[in-house]
Amino acid sequence: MRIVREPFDRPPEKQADEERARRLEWVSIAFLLSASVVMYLVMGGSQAMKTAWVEDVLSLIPPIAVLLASRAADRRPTDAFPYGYARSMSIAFLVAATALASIGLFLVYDSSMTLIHAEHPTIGQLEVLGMRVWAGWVMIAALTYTVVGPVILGRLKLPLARSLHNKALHADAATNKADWMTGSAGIAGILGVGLGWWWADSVAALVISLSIAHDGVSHLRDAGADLMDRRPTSLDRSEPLGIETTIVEYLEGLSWVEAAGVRLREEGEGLVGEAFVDPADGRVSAAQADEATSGIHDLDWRLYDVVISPTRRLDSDG
Amino acid sequence: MAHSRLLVLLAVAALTGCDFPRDPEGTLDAVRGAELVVGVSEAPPWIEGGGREPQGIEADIVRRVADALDAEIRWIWLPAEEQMTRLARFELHLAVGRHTRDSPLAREVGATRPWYVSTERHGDTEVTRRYHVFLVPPGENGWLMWLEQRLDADSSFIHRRTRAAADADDA
Repeated sequence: MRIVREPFDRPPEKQADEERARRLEWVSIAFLLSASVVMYLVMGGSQAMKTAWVEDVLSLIPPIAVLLASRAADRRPTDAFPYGYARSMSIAFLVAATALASIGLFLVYDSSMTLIHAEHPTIGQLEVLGMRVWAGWVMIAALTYTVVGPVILGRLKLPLARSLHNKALHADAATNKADWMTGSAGIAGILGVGLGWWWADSVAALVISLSIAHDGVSHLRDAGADLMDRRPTSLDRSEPLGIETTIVEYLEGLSWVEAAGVRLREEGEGLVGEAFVDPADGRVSAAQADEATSGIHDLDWRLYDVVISPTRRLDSDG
Repeated sequence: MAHSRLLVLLAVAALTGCDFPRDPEGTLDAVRGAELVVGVSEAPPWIEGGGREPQGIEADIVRRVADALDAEIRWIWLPAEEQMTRLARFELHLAVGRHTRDSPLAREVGATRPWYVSTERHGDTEVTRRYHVFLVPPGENGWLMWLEQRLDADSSFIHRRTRAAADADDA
């Protein structure tokens, strides 16, 4: 006999949010591609612009990862993968975080070198729409364009990430919203160069690359923790979710349950795990177990595949 | 929001009016009314002189630049690599000698936008484009902008002289 998990079913209102989130990720990809091209054409000899361009290109990875992984994660469990494909989101997240962290750290090194070698950025004239202007103004315009999009998109994605409890989407949205800091640093760097402070450009680049590296490393920690089955936490990972207590209360409220203990893990949006019950008169029927399982799943839309395990050793260490 | 946008516009207007962008090493101010130190290497017919007063298109453009700045020219004959080293140390204000945008030297220091694009024919179909630039010290953006505006102002002079040279070549 082969037992394959039931597919995880999102409630209809969540499905609408999921589709909206996917559309926003497509918009993000389109916008970031245009931003990358604009920045590449305009970046010239400025280290801050080069770093901001790299960040724009890297920002393509989270939405691509979210789109690919959400399609994969929705596939129904098969005999080969009886637990389903929910983990693909965590894997995509890990890959994206590794890319961000390693490139961010390289950029920190690169920007420090330009500062240490006292490289003076040369920013001259540029012809734009038949007028000759200082290229710095064009760079500032490009930075403004590339920052406005992500900030708006991030604001739109954040409530969807909360509703879907999608951590990868949440990380992507938070990064987008923080883009205003990259834009400000870059603009400050270029204005500083205009005022004669050659180091302003390298310092701005250093600030931007530190923020990329920091994002990458913190995403790396979280992706790793997810794959190690950490207990469910709130979306920003600051607090445990505490759903285990809710389940224990429900179970101990059942007449045939003496005591209960629960452990859970997150698999994508789904919460799965084991519920250990000590039955009041030492035995539990299959019907009671099935009913308790349904009752647990009804407690929260995210609860999925919690397995009841009767035991008499709930309080002991053995 | 409207207030902060207005402030930005005013700041931009103020900055473009006064000394912006500036030179970290003060090149433009150092040259104005004083001395223009130019590194020059032999590159006929663009510039030549055998160690004495240079002749050629590039030399004439530099003389017009010095006139506009009310500066005396001090020519220093140097090979190209040496020009680059001294520019990077801010010991030269300008370097001329048929430098092109694609040369590795141009990347180490600063360069003006191309003041002339020459084409060379190889056989029937291949054409190489060379983008002629002048080299400047790195990061001296005020000086660079001034020079580029000067090249714009002198564009008809440059056009006449380069046309005459090209016609002489064909003849």
